[in-house]
Amino acid sequence: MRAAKLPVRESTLRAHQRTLETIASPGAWWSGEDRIAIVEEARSAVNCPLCQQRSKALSPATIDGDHDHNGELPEAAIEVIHAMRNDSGRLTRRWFDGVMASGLDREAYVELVSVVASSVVVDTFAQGIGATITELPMAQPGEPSRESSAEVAEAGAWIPIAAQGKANILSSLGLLPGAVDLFFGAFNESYYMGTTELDLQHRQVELVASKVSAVNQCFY
Amino acid sequence: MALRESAKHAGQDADLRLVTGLVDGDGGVEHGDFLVRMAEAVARWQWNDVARLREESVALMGEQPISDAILVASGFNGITRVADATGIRLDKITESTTADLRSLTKIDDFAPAEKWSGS
Repeated sequence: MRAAKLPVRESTLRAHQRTLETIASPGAWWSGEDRIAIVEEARSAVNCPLCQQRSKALSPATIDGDHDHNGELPEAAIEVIHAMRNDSGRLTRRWFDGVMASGLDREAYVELVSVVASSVVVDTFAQGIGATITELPMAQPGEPSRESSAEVAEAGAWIPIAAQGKANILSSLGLLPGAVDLFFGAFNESYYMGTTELDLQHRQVELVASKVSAVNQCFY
Repeated sequence: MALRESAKHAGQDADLRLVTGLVDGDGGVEHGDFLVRMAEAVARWQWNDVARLREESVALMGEQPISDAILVASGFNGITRVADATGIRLDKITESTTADLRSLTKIDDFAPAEKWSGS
């Protein structure tokens, strides 16, 4: 993280670098090249005029138009990336059904969610501490593995989640074990997971976490 | 979120309504007012505000705590997107551990029926 204005733990640096390197490798449903394109799209989506219009509208579904995009990914993927990045609190089942009807596999969707959310963690932190956004690594060659988990269950979510799990958020990406590893590899540094150390009181951590959930209109 | 539980453990009572702006002040959390402003600026990607708050805060809290607060906010900026984009429901554990927080902050308002009703 170049030019950071604040100290960064070595473990965080390593975890975030590993996240970007994993993104650059082939996943289960997307190639390394696709996954890098997904992050590039997520980074540029913040300037999308259609997203800006939608975020001001009473309902985003009432605003038609085309996203300003890099043209490297399918339209359905573009919609998911932009909506997740810019207005995630107002995603609905109806929106999800529309995206799936336009041709995304549910596995491709889960991987997309993991890659976008992981990049949000890494990029938000870099910018938050006053560093420049980390340059993306070169995409690694290879075909997607097409490996998904059979240990899933319907739990009222839009997608099947891991059958075993204490909290639904930890199970939410369970259809693709690689998607779980990718996201939580980035997230775990940010919360009391495993050996994570934070120089804050527990209730200060919970206050920040709760405020971000409220700003993002996330009920979970 | 187990804010109330954490506050109990610390022997203090945090006012969770600070999270959704229903009350002002620090909510009984040390530097709570500042942390809420920083969390909001980070979550909204308002980098000029974040830079200003960073400057203000170093003398107030020290560099590492501010870096960690931004790290927590960054993680939750990602995980809220996972929750929102997968349409997960509340599980029993989360529901029971966050019942007080949900009641006080009205955070369930962010889960309208339309979230799960299909076309």
